[in-house]
Amino acid sequence: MIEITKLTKKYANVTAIDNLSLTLQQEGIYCLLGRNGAGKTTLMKLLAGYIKATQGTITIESKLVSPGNMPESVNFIESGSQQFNMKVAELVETAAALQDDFDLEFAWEMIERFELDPKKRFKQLSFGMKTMLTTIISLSNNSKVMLLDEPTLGFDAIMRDSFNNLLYRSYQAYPRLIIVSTHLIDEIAKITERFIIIDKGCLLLETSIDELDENAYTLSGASSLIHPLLEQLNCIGTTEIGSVMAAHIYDRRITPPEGVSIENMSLQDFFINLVGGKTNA
Amino acid sequence: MLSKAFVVAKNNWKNIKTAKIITYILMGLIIAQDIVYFILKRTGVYTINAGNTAVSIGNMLFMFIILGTFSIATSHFKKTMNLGAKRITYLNGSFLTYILMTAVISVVAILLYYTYDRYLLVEFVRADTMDIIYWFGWLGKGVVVTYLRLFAFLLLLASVLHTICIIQDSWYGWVTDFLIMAIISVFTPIAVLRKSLVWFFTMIIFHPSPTVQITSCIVLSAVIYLLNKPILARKTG
Repeated sequence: MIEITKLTKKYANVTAIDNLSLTLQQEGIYCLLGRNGAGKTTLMKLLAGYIKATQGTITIESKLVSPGNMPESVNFIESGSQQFNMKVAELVETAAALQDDFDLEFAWEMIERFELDPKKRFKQLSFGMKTMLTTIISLSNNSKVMLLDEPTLGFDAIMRDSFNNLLYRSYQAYPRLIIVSTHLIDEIAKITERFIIIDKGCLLLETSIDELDENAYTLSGASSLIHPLLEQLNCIGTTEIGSVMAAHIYDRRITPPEGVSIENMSLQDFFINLVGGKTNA
Repeated sequence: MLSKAFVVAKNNWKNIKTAKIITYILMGLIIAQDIVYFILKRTGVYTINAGNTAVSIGNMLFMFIILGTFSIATSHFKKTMNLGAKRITYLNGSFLTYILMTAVISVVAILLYYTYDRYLLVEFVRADTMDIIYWFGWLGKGVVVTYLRLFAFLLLLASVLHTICIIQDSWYGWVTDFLIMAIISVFTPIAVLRKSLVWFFTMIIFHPSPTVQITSCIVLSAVIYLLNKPILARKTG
């Protein structure tokens, strides 16, 4: 469905995306992770055809993407998207009139479920509700690819939970390829199926949550017992206090020797260790 | 396709409140001034003098086209896209807005010229009224011809303004601004080049043949509409 080949995007002397190749074939909710400035928004804008790549190509459903050839099957929603200052009901009705395959019933169901007042004007809504409305409008059409750039930015915990529910309900109603960029890893993990992790414009990892559960773990115990094990494993970070250490592993599962415990790594810890790549002593 | 363009046009119309308010205020100010003069004249305090001229109230409606076009080109694009419209729908809807807007405004402006403005002249409240349909020499061949000349010119004005506004966020927008300034500043002082400028403005405004002037404006508007297609295909914000 999406094929990115040797993609590079440079802004003057800064390389935002660096020779990135990635193929996404399956429908699903993909979580795009990366630190601030890792290139997440640039990648989304390139996918939407908003900006031109310096090198490399993107094809979506076999069609080459560029600013002069923006794919209509892609819907890109930025955080804080603007709408006309009309009543919620009017905005939804207008969106339905402008789109051939707009699911008005789904939109109303979501508006009711997330307690958006149809009589309120857009500017009268809170920041979170504005984003929610824009997302409902976008999710109610049948675009094959949805790109959501930090959609929960500025949301409180309850709003974030509601938003994740909305996303999941939409995906159930219309299975498609949804890419969500966020920093709130553990929250999105409840609904996402696959992760794309980028750093400094490079692809670090594209994997499923099952693979992560299986391959991301922490070994804890005496340093003298753990150090020999690390020679054969892909260690992404360590924490050492005196003669005791914890080693964060992303590799095949092993059966630890006596004196060494093994436990699953949280997604947050996995991300920090993978991207942070640090060793604390 | 056309029904979606109508949806965009309706939306554009509903969301140009600032243009409406400013235009109504300007028209209100002229009416207020005329009322004051009218009362003063009736009470004998005021006598007409040659300096007492005013802009036609109908011409104030052109502000609406200028400000409305600015809003549609600068802030409506992204919002219309956020409602899931296609770029071509936005383009068709915007030009449909301009066609309907200029068609209605031309009717109202001519009506006001022949009624409100004339009444004030007859009543000696004003010595003269400044109106483009008079200054551009569009009178004398019937009301319908005057209407068509005004409509075609306003449509061209809206098309040009829309395009200039919509390209301001790209490099070719700045190049266009520079070219317009260069053409005006370089062509005006040089007699040979000035002739081509005069020729251009004669074609779109002053030509004695209404057919030539109307056709020039309509054809140029259509060319500008077509030029907007590749511009919009690349527009992101």
